[in-house]
Amino acid sequence: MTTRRTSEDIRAEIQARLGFVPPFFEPAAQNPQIFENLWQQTLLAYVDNPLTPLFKEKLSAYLSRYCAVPYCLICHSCSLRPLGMEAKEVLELLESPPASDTEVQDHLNRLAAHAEQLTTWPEPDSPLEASLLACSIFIAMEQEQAEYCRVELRRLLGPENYQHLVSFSAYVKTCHAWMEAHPEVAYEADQRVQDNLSILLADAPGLGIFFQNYRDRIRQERQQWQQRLAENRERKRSEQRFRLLTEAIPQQVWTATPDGRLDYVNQRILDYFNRTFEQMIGWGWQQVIHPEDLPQCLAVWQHALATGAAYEIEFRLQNAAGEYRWHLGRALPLENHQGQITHWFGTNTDIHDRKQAEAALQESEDRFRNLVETSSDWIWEVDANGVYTYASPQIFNILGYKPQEVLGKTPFDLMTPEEAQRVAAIFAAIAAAQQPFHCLENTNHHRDGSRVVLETSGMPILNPDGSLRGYRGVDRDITERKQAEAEVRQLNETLEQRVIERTAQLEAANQELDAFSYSVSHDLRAPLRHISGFVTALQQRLEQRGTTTDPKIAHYLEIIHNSSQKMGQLIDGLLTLSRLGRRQLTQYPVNLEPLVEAAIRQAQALAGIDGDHRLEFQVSALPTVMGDATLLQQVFSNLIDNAIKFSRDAEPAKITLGTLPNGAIFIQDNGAGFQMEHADQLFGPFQRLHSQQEFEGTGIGLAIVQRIIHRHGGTIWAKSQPGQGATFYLTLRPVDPGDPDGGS
Amino acid sequence: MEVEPARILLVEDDPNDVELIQLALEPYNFVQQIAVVWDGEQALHYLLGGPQALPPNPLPQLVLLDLKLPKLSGIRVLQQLRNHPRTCNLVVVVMTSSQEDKDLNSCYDLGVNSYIVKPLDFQQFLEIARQVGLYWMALNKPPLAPLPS
Repeated sequence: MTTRRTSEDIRAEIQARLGFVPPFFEPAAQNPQIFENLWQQTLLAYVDNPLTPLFKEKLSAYLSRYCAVPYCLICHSCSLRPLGMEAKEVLELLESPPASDTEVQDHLNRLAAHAEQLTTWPEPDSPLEASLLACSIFIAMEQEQAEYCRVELRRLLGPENYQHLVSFSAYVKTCHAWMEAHPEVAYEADQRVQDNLSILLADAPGLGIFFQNYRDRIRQERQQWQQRLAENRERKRSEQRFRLLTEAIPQQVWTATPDGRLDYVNQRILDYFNRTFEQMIGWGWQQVIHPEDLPQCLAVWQHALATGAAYEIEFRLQNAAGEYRWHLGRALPLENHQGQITHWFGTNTDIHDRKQAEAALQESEDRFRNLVETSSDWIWEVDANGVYTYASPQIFNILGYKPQEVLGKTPFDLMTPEEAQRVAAIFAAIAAAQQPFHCLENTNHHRDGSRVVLETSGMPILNPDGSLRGYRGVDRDITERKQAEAEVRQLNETLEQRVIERTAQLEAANQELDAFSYSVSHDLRAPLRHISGFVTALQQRLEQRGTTTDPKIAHYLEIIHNSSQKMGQLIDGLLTLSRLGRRQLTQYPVNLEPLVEAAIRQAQALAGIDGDHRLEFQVSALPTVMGDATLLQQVFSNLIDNAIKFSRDAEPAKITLGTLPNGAIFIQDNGAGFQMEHADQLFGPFQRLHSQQEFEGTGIGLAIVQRIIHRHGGTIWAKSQPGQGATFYLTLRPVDPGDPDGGS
Repeated sequence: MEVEPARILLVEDDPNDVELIQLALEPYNFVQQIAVVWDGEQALHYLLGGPQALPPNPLPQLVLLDLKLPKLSGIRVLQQLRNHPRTCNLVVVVMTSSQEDKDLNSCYDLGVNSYIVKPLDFQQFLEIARQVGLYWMALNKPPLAPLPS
């Protein structure tokens, strides 16, 4: 614009465009530049703005409530009437409070729901227009509070309409500033007022009152608005803090409406159950509380809802993996100023590990308590001074005291003074060294005065600094055991005495028996000798005289002679046996090799009578043993005689003597042998396994052998099979090289 | 009192044994006479006399003494003989059925000259009787007789 128009030019254009010149411009008329500026703004932002006229007037009238000068308020209120609004509707618009932030949110939601209709400006008086108006007022009046709303409106309206809206609001504010700068401008001079005001006031007298009082009213409204805003901000901050807190703490946190519907859960709950918030709402706890815990939980919760009482309960919650974990649930009612419950606030704390540790601890404690209390032993603790600090109930059965009766006493209080002195000396040394001790025997007095022998074992208990805190241990009642031991000892002594007596009796009986058998054999021997002697004498006399030729006589005499011989052998055997029983052994080391050689020579000499019987002896190393040489000679003579006798049908007869690795001496023949089932008769006096026709004998030889071996403390046994020969084994005490008797 | 040669005193209570011994010694001429007493008291009387009386006979060359005797046992007889100066060196041979160690030891302790166990077999008995008689009566040089008191 190269040339500036005059005020008259501008006035003429206003007259042309509006049909009148509002007094609004009067203060600018003196300066064409200001005038032009004001008019151009009015023209561009208002007159030519493509927003609908009704919307522009509504927004303009409403925003003018906040102007200190009534000019704009009244002029634009009047403009609404020609656009079709009733006076009451105008009053209603002006009296309505601005939308709160939550209401604005609702309006934005409505606009967003019909975003596709916003390509054109909404129909006048439609709900969308109302929402758009509320949001427009909001962004015009609020600063940061309206940030989100501005962004959202711009998105919904598109940049162009939004810019039109914003420039319109800015123009309205410019007008307000202009009018507040020129309060002398009278609205009465305005054409719109002159045309409409009296009608409006007549239709709705409330408008007049409103115009008169609007400043106070708006001031109050602003104050309330600000207050609510501040409250909201505070609430939001508090909510934010609450959220932060609930998300930061390790507990599950939830809130519920007074009737018990969940309206908030923290992330921890969502994670635990692996559900979304929407899934959580209206979804019962019943499904995840352990069936055993559910009835009590429901009862508690219902009681809380009914009475408003806070509660605390332990229960198991099943997590997304299906595992039940113990939780401690707490809920508190949140009350407002009037004491009404506005919310329930609850937490669930996972106490599973603690619960398990507690259970384990309890189990362990139960186990030890059971052990301690069911043990037949008495378990105790003493402090560093030996004073009982614990006694298990078993003390009552052992000493007759109740546990609490000995607390404060020492073990020595339960003993006689002498015993206490003795045990205290021992214990002092143990305690000084902080040593454990085991089975310390001590004698105590039962409450009834009887004597109780205890066996005490203990372990030191040390303080963290290593000093002695006391002892813990066990007392066992060994009174009965001690008595039993004493009885056993006495029994043993008695038994030994009885064994000695009985042995003496047996020895005496044995000697009597031996003496008897000696005497009998001795007395039998004499008449036998006479029979034998006189039969022989008779034979000789008969032969000398030749008085008989009857061969029967000689035969009968022969039988008598042989029988007396035989009886003599039996009696001699008996005598030998009885003599052996009474004879004192004279034991020296005896080298068996020469002894056996002598026995063999003797046997060979006797066997030499039978000329065609070949006899082979094989003797390997034999030991030197402790024994009576004469008797051992008899043993080997008898055994060798036996072997020769029973192997005389073998050709050649082989007799082997030697020593087994285990030290047993054996003598083996290849003779007739015997059946093992008769082996037990082998060594019995006068026991024979063969008939006189097969093998003559008295049956006394092996009895003698066994008797001698037994008297030497040895053993003898035999193995055989009929026709396979026999082997006799015997053990004798070998000479110990370290034995002084055997050394020489 | 001089020793009468070739006389034997047989101290034996069993007449059968006496007869057997006589029978055994009968064929040998070194025995002139066999005196027999039946118990220990008689034996002591024969050899030592009584409290008031001198011995009725001179000492025999050999005493065959049984141990099992009525009244006074052979051992006691031997003991008294050895304790008496008249008979302390007298040849005494015990002929007995006993093979007891105790008897054997006691006799040797008391200084018996020989200890013979009577064999059962008659032939052996004859042989032993003959040998004993021959040895002690013919071969053995008896101790000198004590001087008359």
